[in-house]
Amino acid sequence: MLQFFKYIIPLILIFSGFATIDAQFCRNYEQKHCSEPPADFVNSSVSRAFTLGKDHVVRFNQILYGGRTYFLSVCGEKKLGNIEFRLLADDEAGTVLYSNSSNGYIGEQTFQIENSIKLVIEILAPDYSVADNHRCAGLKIYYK
Amino acid sequence: MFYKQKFTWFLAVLLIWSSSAFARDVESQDEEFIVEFYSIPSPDEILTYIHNSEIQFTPRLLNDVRKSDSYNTFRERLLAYGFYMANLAYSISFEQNNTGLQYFNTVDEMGRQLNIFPPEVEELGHRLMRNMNQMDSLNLIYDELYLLVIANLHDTDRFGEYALISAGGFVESLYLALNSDGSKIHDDGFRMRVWDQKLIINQLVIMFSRHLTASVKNSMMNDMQGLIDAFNEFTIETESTKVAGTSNGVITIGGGRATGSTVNSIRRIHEEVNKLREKWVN
Repeated sequence: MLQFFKYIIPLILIFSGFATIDAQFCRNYEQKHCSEPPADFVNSSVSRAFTLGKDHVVRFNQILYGGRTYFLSVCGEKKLGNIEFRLLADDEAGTVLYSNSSNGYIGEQTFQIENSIKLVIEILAPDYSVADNHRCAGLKIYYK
Repeated sequence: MFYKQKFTWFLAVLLIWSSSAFARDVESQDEEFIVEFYSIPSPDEILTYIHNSEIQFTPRLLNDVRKSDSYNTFRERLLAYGFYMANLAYSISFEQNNTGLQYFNTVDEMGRQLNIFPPEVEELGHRLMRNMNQMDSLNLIYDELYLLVIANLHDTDRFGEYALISAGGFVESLYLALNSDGSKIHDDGFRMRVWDQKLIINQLVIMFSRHLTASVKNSMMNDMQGLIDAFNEFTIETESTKVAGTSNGVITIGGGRATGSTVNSIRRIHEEVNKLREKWVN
């Protein structure tokens, strides 16, 4: 019984810690790996690193201000394969306004916003098939 | 004895591996596992969008740094953290170096007390000391500090705290934009930019529902109901979002607000912002 407390409890604590540090482990991934915007853009407060897995979709509910131009770039670990990002209207149908899947999964795109709107940015790794593993990815949003 | 110990280790590893694999399987059995984030622009982004360089720095509006110890509940302290972040952004945007440093020190101290800082903040503090007289540095350090705090709250699933800091920063930013000397409150462009903040109110309400406990959510909704009603009173025509065109690789997204819409009075929004700010700050 003493063995249990001496070895197993610390092990459980260590491994359960590993299971929850995914997102923290990826911190600043987007700053290091996603494409840089042109020099006159500034970083927005919503650039983020996160984890992607098989059949995972990460959705960012985002407010974009009218009259501004936004540079979006996505990136992920090589093993994730292509990273798809979609821009969806905030309507009931979730109308897809843009998907980089029709553009060779290019990692960045610039959008000019006419009027302030709420949009949804969806990010996924469509080709990734490893069920029990998550990998780092990032979204960089700059504006001018 | 040796074999018994080895067997115990084997069982432990098997137990941990199986429980972790099971947790992942549950997720992968779903057709799509959706992780959803809600973001609110920083006080700096809200302020610069609304005032568009049309207002003057008005220090009497800033919340006194000496009050930072007087907020008692966790909710009050997180809201106050948002006010002081907005005060810091406001001071920096008008290149008020000394005032900016006072607010930086306040958000630094409060951030530590609230335990919302990741370890990287230490390095930020050292850099600030080295570049104290350079406004550009302070500006960059503010951006970095805000990003670090928000990223840390996201990475550690502290979305309720993020919602409360954002609410404080949002109301303080509106207060500063509407009350600063030179504020063009009757100008159509200015009013429309204030009205655009309705999107943030709507987003905050969703975040309160998802991430706050029932009692904190009710307190926030009670406090903010007047402001929510004021924004709802300010009607405007909208049209569905669509791609309006592409030029030189840049995609234009149209829709949202319709052109030629009627602009209502902003008076009630102004009153409600001042009332709510008074309640939260004092």
